Amino acid sequence: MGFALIALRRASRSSTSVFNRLSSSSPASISRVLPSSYRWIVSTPELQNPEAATATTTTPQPTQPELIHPPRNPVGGARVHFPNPDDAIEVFVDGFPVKIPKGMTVLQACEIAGVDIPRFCYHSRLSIAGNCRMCLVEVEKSPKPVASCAMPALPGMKIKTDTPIAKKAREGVMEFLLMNHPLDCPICDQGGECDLQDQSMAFGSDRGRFTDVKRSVVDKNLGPLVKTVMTRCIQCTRCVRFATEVAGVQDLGMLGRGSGEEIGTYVEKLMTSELSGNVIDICPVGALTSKPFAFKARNWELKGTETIDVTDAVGSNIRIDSRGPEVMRIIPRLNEDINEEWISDKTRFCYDGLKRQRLNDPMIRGPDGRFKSVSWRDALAIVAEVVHNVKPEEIVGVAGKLSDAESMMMLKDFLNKLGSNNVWCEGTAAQPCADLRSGFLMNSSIGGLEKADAFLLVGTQPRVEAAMVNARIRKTVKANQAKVGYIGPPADLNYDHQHLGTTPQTLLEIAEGRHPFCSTLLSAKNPAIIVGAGLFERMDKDAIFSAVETIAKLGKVVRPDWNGLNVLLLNAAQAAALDLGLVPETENSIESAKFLYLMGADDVNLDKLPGDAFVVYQGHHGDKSVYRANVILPASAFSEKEGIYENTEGCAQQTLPAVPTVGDARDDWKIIRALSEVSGIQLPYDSLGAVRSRIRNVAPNLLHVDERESATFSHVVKPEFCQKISMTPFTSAVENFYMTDSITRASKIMAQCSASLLSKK
Amino acid sequence: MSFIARAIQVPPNSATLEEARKRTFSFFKQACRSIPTVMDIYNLDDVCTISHLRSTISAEIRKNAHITNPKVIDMLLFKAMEELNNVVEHAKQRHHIIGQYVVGKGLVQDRGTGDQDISGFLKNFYTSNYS
Amino acid sequence: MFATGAARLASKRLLEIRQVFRQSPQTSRSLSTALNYHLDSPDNNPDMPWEFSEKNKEKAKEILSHYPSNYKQSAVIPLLDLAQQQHGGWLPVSAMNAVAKVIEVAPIRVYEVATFYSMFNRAKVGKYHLLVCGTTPCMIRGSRDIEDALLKHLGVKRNGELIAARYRSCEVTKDGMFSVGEMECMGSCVNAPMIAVADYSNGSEGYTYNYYEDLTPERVVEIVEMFRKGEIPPVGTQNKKRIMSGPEDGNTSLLSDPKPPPCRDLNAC
Repeated sequence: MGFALIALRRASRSSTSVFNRLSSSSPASISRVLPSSYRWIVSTPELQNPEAATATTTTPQPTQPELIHPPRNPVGGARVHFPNPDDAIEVFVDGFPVKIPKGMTVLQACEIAGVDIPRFCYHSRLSIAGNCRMCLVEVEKSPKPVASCAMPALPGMKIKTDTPIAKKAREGVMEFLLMNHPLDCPICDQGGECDLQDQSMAFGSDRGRFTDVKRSVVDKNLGPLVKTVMTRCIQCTRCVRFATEVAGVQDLGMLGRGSGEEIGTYVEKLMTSELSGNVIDICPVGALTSKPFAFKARNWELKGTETIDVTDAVGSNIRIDSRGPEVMRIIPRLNEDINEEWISDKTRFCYDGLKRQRLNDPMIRGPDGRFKSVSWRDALAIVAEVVHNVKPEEIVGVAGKLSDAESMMMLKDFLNKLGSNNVWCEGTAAQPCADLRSGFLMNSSIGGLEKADAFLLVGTQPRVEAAMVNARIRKTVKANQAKVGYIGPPADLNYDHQHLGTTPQTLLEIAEGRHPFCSTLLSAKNPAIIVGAGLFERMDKDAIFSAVETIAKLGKVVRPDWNGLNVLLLNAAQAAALDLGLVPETENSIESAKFLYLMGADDVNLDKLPGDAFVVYQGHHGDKSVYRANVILPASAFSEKEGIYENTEGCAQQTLPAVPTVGDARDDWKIIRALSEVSGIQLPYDSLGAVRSRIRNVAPNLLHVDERESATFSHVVKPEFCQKISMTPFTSAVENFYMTDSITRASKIMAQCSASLLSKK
Repeated sequence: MSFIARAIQVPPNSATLEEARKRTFSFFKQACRSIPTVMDIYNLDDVCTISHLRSTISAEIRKNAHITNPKVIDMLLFKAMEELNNVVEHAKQRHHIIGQYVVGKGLVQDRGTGDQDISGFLKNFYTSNYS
Repeated sequence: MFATGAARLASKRLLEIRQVFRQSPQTSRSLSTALNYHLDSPDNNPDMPWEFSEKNKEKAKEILSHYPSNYKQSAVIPLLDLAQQQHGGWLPVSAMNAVAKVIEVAPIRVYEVATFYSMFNRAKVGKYHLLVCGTTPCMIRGSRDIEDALLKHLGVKRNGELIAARYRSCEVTKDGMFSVGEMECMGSCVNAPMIAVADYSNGSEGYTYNYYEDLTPERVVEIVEMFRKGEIPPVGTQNKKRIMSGPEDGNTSLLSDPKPPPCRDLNAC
C-alpha cells in the first residue's frame, strides 16, 4: 500500500487526462501499477445511510460496474498452495469466485482474489489477534461486518469488500483509531511509510467528531535500538506477538485496560533480543521507530538498493537505503528461503560502522612506525618490490570474513602465480575437505529446517552465530514441538532445549548409542544435526566430524529424501572461499611467512608471525590487523561494491553498490589486479565479467545468483584419517554477537548494544 | 563580500597596451609586497619560500603573455586583484593556497611519468574507482 | 457575516475545550490504584524477596489442581488474589513474579492480568480497603455524600485523584488502617448506597469482603470507627427496618401464599 498508489488513485480520479496519458504510453505498465485493488474513494453522502444505499444499488441494476472488472491479480504476489486438492473451497469476493484451501481466513481469500484489505494488527507471520478491527468486510447473511483477519472462510461465502457498509465500518474504525493518535506526522519518523497515514488517506473520513483531549502515554526505554513514542501506539499488539512468538523474549505486554491500555514491559527492562529491530518494521505507526535513524532522513529521500548482508553466514536479503554518499539505514527484504522478512539487529544497525574508522588513502608505515599517506602508484610499487624479494613459499594470503568471491578468486590466482598456495579464508584455517561441498554446507537448507523434528546442535550457538537460523529453529520448535539437544558451553537459546554436555565425550556417547538423547534422535522422522563452524579451528575436527557422521548414520539423518547433516558457517566469505578452494597447503605457514597479504582479515592470529614479515593489509576499516600492517591498501565495503557471496546453505547471492566508495579506496579485485600488473605478473582480468568467467571455471555454482546449489556427493566418499578426539570442552565461536567483524567493531551502535544489552543478560 | 568589492577599485579601461602593461607591473609589485603577509597568515614557511611564491605569481602572469587586447588584460587584472584580495583577507584556507600556488606548481608530484607502458586498466585504476 | 459567525462559533468551542482542560482532574476518575508501569520504590521492587507462606503454598497447590497440568496459567487470577490477600491487600512486583514462577509463564503475562483488573491493587492500600459504589443507582441515593463523609472523616483522598503523590496510589490513613477507593456497580442496587469493605487485617486466612448497604453518611463513619476498634459491624443492610433486600417495614406485596401453577386435573382421566 504505497503512497504513490494512493496518489495515483487520487490523481486519476480528479483528472482522467492523467489516466489517458499513462495508459496510452504503456498499457502494460498501467495494469501493473493500477492493480486490481484499484478502488474509487467515495465521498460520504451515500455512506450516511448505508442500508438504504445498499438497497438501492443492489436491487435494480443488473450490470454493476464492479462486475465488468477483469479478474484481479493476487495482492503482493500471494500464492495459493493446495496441500490437498479436495480441501479446496470456493468463495466469492466482490462477485468473483475464488478457489482457496480450507482453513484460510476471509482476509487471505480476499488477498488471493486481488483485493487489498486494510489492516493493522494482522500480520501473516504472527498469530491472529483481531483487535484493530480495520479489516472489517461485509459478508452476506452476516448481521454485522466481520473482522476478516480472524474469520475463517466458509464454502460459498459471499464477501463484499466494496459496499457502503464495509466502507462505513472502515471509516468508523479509522475515526476511533485516530481519536487518540497524535497529529504529529510532521515530526514522526514513520511519516511517509506509515500504515495509519496511508490507510487513513485511502479509507478514512476527512473529519472526526472527537473534540476531547487526546490521551498521552509515557515512553518506554527498550534499549539503544528501538525508540518509543507510545502516545502514537494504536494497540495493534504486533510487537507483543513478535517478541513472544518470533524473537522468543517475553518482555513486552499489553498493560492496563480501556483507554489506559498501553504497550510496555511494566518493570524497567530493555529488549534483549537479537531480533528486536524487527519491531520497527512491523509497527504500523510511529510508536516504535529506529533510534539511530531518528530524525535523520525521510523515506522518500532515500535511494533503496537491494543487496545482501555480510555480517554473518546467513546472507539475509536487505535493502540499503542511502542518501547521497551515506548509508542511512538497512531494512530487510522478503526471502522465504533465507530470512523470511526479519533481519538480526547486527545486520540492521551495523551501518554506522561504514562511516567510522575507514581507510581513505593508501598508506605506508615509515621507519618511525607511523603511517604516511602515499599515492596508489607508490604503495603498489613498494608491495611489488617486496613480493619479488621473498621466496614463494614464504608468501601467505588470508582473505577476510567479508570478502566477496571475485576478490578471493583474484587473491588465489595472484598468489598462485607468485608460486605460493598458502591462501585461505579466516575461520577455515585448517579445513582439508573443501572438495566435498556437503562437508561445509547447511545441507537441509535454512528453510528446510522447518521440516525437522529433532535437532542436535554440536558446538554451535545459532543464536549468536546466525540469528536468522536460530529464528528458524525456534519456529520449528514452536510449530512441530521439535526436540533440541545441545552440546557446547552453557548458552541461552531462546527455545526449550536439553543441554546434553559440554565436551566431545557426550558426542561419543551419542555415537555409541549410550546417551538418552539417542532415542529422541532415532524416533525422529527428520532429524537434523547442526555442527558449528567453530569446530574447524579444533585440532581434532576430523575425529569429531566422524563421530557426527556415525550419529548421522545411526539416526538415519542422511537419506535420499532428507539430508539433515548441516554445518553452520560463521561468516559470509567462508562458503565461497571453500568452493573456490581457498585452503592452506600447510597448517602453520603463517609462522614462516615473510610476506603476508591480508585481504580484510582481522581475526587472524598474528602472534606467531615473524617480526620481519612484511604485512599488506587491504581492507576498508582500520581494525585489528592494521596495527601490524606495513602497507595499507584501502578497499571498498560491501555497501559500495558488486560482489558474489555464498551463504551457509550454498545459495549464491550478490551485493550491489549502494553508495560510492570513500576516499581513494578501490574495489578489492581491482587492487589485486593492479598489484599483479605492477609486480609484473599481470592477471588477465580487466572487468568484473572477466573475473566471473574465471570463477565459472572453478565454481560455476557461484554464478547462479539467488539459486541454492545443493551438494551432490554426501559424506560417503570421505578420505580416511587417524585422529583422536580430545576431551577439551567446546568453546563458543562468537563471544559478542554485536561485534564480529571490522564493520560491526567500528560501529557505535553495536558498541552501545554490547555495553547495555550483553551486560544485562 | 561587499567589503571586497569596495576595496577593489575599478579603474577606467586602459587606453593603450602600454598602460595595461604598466598596470600589470604595478599589480605584480603589489602582489609581491603582500607575499610576506600571506606567508605569515597561512603559515606557509614550512612548505615554500617567498621567492617560490613570487615565481608562481610571475608564472601566472606570464601564462597570459600572448594577450594584446588591453580590454582583456584589464579584465584579467581585475580578476587577479580580486584573487589577491581574497588571499590577503584570509578568505581562503591554507590548503587552498597550497593546492593552488604551492603544490603542482613546480614543487612536487611527478604524475604522469612512467605511464607509457601500463595497461588501460591500471591507468583507470590510478585515477578513480569508477572508470 | 458568515466569517464572523464562524469565528464566534470557533471561539465558543475553544472556550468549551479549555473548560474541559481545566476540569480534567475531576472528570477522569481512574478506577485503578496505580500506573500501568512500575516504578521502583523501597517497598515495591523486583529484588524484594516474596514467597507464598507455608499455608498459602498448600492453598496454591489446591488451586492449581483445579486446572489441567498443561494449563497452569489458568490459575493466574486466583493465585494473584491469594497473593494479594497475603500481602495486605496489594501486589508488589515481586509477588507477581512469584506467581509467574508458580504457573510457569513469563512475568509480563502476569503483569498484563494484574494491570487489567482493577481489583488487583498494585499500590499500597489500608488494612480495610473501603470501596464506594459510584454507579447510577447508588449515586442517586447519595453515594457521593457517603464518599465525602468517608474522605473527610479519614482525611485521605480517593484513588486516582492524588495529583501530588508520586506513585498515584490510593492514600492510606497514617495508621495504615484505611484507604478509600471507588468501584463500579457491585450488584446491590436495591440497597443503595453501599460500600464494600475488603478486610486484609488478618492475612489470607481472615480475609473477608463484605458489603455494607443502605448507608447514611453518619452510619458509614460509625462503621469505620467500629473497624478501628477491631469490631466487625453487622454485614449487609444498615437499615434496621429492612430484612436483607426486603422493603422497609415488612412486605407490601406477595403477602399471601403464592398460587400454585395451574395443573390439569389428574383425576379426570
